[in-house]
Amino acid sequence: MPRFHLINGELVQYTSEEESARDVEEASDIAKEASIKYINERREGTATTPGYGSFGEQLDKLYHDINAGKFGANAKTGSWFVGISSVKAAHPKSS
Amino acid sequence: MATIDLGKIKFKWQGTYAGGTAYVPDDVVYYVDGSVGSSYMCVANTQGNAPSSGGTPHASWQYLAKGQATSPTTTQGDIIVRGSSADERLGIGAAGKVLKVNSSANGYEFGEGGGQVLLASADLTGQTLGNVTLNYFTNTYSVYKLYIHGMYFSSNNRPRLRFIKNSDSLPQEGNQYAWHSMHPYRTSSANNHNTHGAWTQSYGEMHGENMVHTHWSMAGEYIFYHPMSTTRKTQCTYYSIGEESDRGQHNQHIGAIWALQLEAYKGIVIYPTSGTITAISYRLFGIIN
Repeated sequence: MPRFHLINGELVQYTSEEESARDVEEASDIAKEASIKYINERREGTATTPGYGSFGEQLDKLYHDINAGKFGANAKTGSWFVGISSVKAAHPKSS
Repeated sequence: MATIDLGKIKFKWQGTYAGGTAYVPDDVVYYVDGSVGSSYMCVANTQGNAPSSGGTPHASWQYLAKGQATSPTTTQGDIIVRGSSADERLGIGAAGKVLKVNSSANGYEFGEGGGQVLLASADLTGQTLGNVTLNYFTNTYSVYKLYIHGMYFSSNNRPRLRFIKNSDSLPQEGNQYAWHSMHPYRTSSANNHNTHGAWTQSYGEMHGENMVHTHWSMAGEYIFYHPMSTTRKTQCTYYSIGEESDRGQHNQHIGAIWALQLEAYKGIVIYPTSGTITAISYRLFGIIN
């Protein structure tokens, strides 16, 4: 379908030159849009696949991995884990 | 014995008052004082004394029937206001103007009423718009507000804008824009937020870098600051909302777009990243200075 300009409320059909120029512009944008798309999808997810999640969610996963011993026993003595553990102890999860 | 015909006893009508005529009690005249024509009855011998002045009767005269001033109106829409000494007409103002007290606070005038003036509006569906151009920026206003809603795209898309140069009526291209936005969003599973932005780009993003699903529309409010100035860079702040994946993610952007060079811009052109705009409603207002 032909494109139209809407200029101050008046419809003006694209000339063939304008159609071609716009097609070129859109085509040149494809690679850029692809890079934006994967970044957005990783950060934000899609309707069916979650993204990274918030910092809080990511760090919570890290806490549970450490707590499960996946980083070795020493990881539980680090200041970050000890600090988070103390907060969790001070504000226990309701049962 | 003389007889008196009681039917002949009456005021003596002397017609229009004349300064050279000597009047005696019970003479009746017509006289126009200012713009008020009235009839007067003489109550004492007099000559050369007008029956009244400025609405006050002379001691030799009294009102018999006091008239009313002739309406000063001449044209449809006139209103009557009191001037310094008499009623005056005030002609109707131009379309959209309001009646307000003048700067001397001693009268009225028509002028801008404050608030915002609608410059352009449209409610369109069933379109294949490659762009929407709004060339309404002038030196009359410093700030403009654009409301968009019901904006649909032919495919999953988002809008961008470029400013229209006042010098040659062409869109500002080249890397003359910077934009950024805060992006709170809600997915079907969680709340989240991030930021988007670019420094030097050939356009400004109007909804961050999030697409709007073709099934759903987007809406937003865009404010433009001093676009016609050649000494200040044109700035735009905005809020926008759109639904990206079909019923899976709602996005909001709180953003800003800068023109990076000093240039007077007469308008904007809005266009989709690809495809066309199939529907749009917009209202553009100038904010009264």
